[in-house]
Amino acid sequence: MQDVKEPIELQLSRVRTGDDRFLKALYENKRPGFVGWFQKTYNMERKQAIDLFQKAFSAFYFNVKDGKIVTLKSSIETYIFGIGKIMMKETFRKENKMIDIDEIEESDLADYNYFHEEDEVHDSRLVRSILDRLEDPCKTLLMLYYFNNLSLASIAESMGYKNQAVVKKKKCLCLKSIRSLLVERKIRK
Amino acid sequence: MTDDEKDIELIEAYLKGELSDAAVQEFEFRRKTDASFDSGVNDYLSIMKEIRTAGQQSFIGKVKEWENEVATQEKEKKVIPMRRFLSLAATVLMIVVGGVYWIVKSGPSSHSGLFDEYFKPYEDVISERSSVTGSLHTGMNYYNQGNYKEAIRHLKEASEQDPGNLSIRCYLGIAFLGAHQMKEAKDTLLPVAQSTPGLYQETAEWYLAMAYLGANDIASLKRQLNTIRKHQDHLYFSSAVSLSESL
Repeated sequence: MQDVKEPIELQLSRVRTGDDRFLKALYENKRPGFVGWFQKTYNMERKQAIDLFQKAFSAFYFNVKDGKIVTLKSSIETYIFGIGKIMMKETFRKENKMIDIDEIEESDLADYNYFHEEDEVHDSRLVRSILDRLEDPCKTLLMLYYFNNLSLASIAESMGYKNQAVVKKKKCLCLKSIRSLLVERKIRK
Repeated sequence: MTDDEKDIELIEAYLKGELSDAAVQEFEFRRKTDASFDSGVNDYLSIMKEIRTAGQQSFIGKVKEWENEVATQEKEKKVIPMRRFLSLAATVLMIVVGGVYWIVKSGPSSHSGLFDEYFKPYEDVISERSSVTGSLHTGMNYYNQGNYKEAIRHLKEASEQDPGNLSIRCYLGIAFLGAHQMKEAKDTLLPVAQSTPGLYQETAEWYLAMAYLGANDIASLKRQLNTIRKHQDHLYFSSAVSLSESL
């Protein structure tokens, strides 16, 4: 598990930087308590509780990554539980079930609605098909910048570019090439 | 900087909400009056959004992979019922032996029966990993066979090689408990129990309670159980409640 006793800010920082080893350990660590508690409290099937944990854990990661959480008044565990409770509440609301679920204490639960977007129909299939075929270095560079929110300087360092100006230029070229393909396909369509 | 680069920078600033009110107005006016610019904005916003969505989906895929790994480990454990049966049989035997011992001793201050009842070696969840080799692998084999003396020897070696590894320390502490070396168990488990909250930290908290129970240090045991009982989602919450009630 975690090798050292770390303050919450440091743990969040490891989440923010996308430390896979740490994230996986965190997943394995928080899973049993979450799944057991939700199964027991909401009389859920184990599979449903696991599914809920995956969604809550992912939402937690996205919120930290996007800088919506920089510190927590409670523990990471409480935060993930809080997201799980809100998701349950919404599920019940959708199913029109009247149930009293205790309110979440954590005031800064931020957004967790990433999964609502899954159901939305986007007119973006063209973009996705182009992105699916995108190769490195554009793929990594754009992902680091737009998804992982890394600075140009950090990207320069991690990808071995001379400086951030080079990264900026490269990023612009990558976007332009994607757009040209997009325009081309739109015309063909 | 080319015009395209300037536009992309402007779109990013707009997306991040970094433009002033006046700049936003100007940006929106330009979109209304310049069809080419507006088309570019729509395309770039769509591209940026899809990159984020692709990243999210990739992470969700990663989480599913982790879940599959955990589920596979759980299944593998279910495939070997004989080990469980033997473990259960051993536990029953220990309870019977402990009960007989308790009756024979009939001392009101003895809790050895409780130790035998509550101490169950933590399941081996690490041997399946390909990274487990050498002393750790050998130590865990002995641990699974209940040969704690040999397990201690090898796990000590593994712990010296990887002193920051909390899982090894945790299993070593439990092996000490299995060998009824309570002081060594306590010394090994205490640092893990005091580490960052997590699987092995919670596990160590429970087995530390077992070390206090085994050493008949009831005051420390009660303190330790209270620590566990403060967290309803603690892995050993119900065991701690049950043991507290038995004291």
